[in-house]
Amino acid sequence: MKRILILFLVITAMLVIAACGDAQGVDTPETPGSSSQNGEDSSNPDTGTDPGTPGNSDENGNGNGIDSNSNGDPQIPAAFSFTFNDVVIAMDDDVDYIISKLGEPRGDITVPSCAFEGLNDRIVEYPGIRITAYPIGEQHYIFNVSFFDDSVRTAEGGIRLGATIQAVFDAYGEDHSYETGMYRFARGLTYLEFLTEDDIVIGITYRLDLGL
Amino acid sequence: MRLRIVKISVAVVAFVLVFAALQRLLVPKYASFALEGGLIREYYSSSMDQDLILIGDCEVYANFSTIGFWENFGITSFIRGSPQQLVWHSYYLLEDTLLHARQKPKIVVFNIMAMQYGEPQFEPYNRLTLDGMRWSPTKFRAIAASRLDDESWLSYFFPIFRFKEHWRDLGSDDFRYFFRDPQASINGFMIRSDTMPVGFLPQPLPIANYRFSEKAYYYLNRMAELTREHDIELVLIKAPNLFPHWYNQWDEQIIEFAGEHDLLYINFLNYTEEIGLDWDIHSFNAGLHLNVFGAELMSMYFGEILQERFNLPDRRTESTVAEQWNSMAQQYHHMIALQLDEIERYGRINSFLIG
Repeated sequence: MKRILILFLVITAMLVIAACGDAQGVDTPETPGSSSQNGEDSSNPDTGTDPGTPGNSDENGNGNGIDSNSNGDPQIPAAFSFTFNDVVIAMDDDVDYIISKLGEPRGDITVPSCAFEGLNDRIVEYPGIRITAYPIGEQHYIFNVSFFDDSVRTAEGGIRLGATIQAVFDAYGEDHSYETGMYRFARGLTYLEFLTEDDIVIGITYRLDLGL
Repeated sequence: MRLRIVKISVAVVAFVLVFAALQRLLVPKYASFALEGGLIREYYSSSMDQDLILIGDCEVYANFSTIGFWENFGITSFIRGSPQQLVWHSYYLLEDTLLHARQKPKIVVFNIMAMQYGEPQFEPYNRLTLDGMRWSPTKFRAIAASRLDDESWLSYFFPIFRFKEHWRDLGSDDFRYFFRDPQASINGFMIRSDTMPVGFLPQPLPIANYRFSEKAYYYLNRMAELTREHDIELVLIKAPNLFPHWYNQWDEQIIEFAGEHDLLYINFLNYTEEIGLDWDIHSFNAGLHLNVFGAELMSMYFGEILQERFNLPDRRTESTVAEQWNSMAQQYHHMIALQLDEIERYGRINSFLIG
């Protein structure tokens, strides 16, 4: 009798410990950006940078190595980045580092999330752009930069809001995906998106692929 | 032979008991973090009549005081809301409510913020809504509609498989609430007495597609059909929250839907002045949610509309109902006083659980 009981208890314990390998961690959800796509190193802003790529010097806190894969063409950077007031902003940069370079933003809010701590995105706005960053621990890393008005332009081709889609093709080529007015160009784990209406650009966003 | 059967039976029972006990121990109690995870479950322990049911995401459970409805209008209500509750969650929770309600509600209010989502979003939010539902064919269908590709059915039947890693950080809550569930709400309303003024509001950006998805419309249609079948009034609302942004293009689609189905739709963003909302004092998290004082204003404003338009009964004259609700109101006021005292003493709220 005891043996049978012990056997069942052992089975129970094994089920609990070993079963369902797809189950996620504890009760706290995985933070966007901390997934395997970005790797464990993503929480360490001092590692894994590619000094040869624009916007990814060691000092800017980019720690996810998103640009480490060369696309084979030395003329084309492996990831999209954006220059604003002479400061290069790359996806996955530490937003506090960027703020230290750009100066006081006109708005800065850590957006509360329902129920879960640690899912609080941070939104920072400067005239013409919005930077959104995801949290890892106490720090926030940039996952998109959007344009508000035509005072800012993309790093390559100088595309502004109001440009024609043909100007976008001239600057970035024809290799893109398209869905309901959105033209998306990919480089490594970054995207540059042009939202259009009647072939006129009405929205521009640099984005990190968070795999969500 | 007989002895063998007895032995096996005892062993099976022992296995089931140990398994159930382990599962109970390891699943989150939502007592000291993500308290909203207990909201859906709390409905089943209510023994009160509810004429009004509010369904939706955080824009209902944080924004409408159920005691406000009671004390001002004698309206009995329950909020069936949970974080990022998507339209299909809400539809099945409506089915579930009709399945378990002591009495059929007269009005169902649905907050339409979640119409922007056409697909399941995030597994942890699925768990907060679905794990709390009682098992029934409705829950089964709710999981089927909500499950992300990498979510296993087994983990819904046996949540221990989802939360097995929790053994590493078992805490006192896991033992304290082993035999009973914590109570985080007053009939589905979560009390927050603190204030965080709206400071900076991010500017809205254009999006690629403003059209609500077929899936969202499908479940909204089903909600309209189900309430019609049960002779219940369905009211659509948009709570007055400033963030995330509610686009005019979205609003137009809801106005159109409400018109086609002869439903009342109120976008409270258009009435914040009449309601008396002051974003410097009526939000606890910078405009995302209202605090209890903002929620009382909402109940005051909305309760009057509901009572006038749908003739909802004032049940304060029914002694049994009044006794239950007044007792609940005492808990409510006690909690507000406690939180205000904590804010004064410590600068923050420490007490969130009602019981």
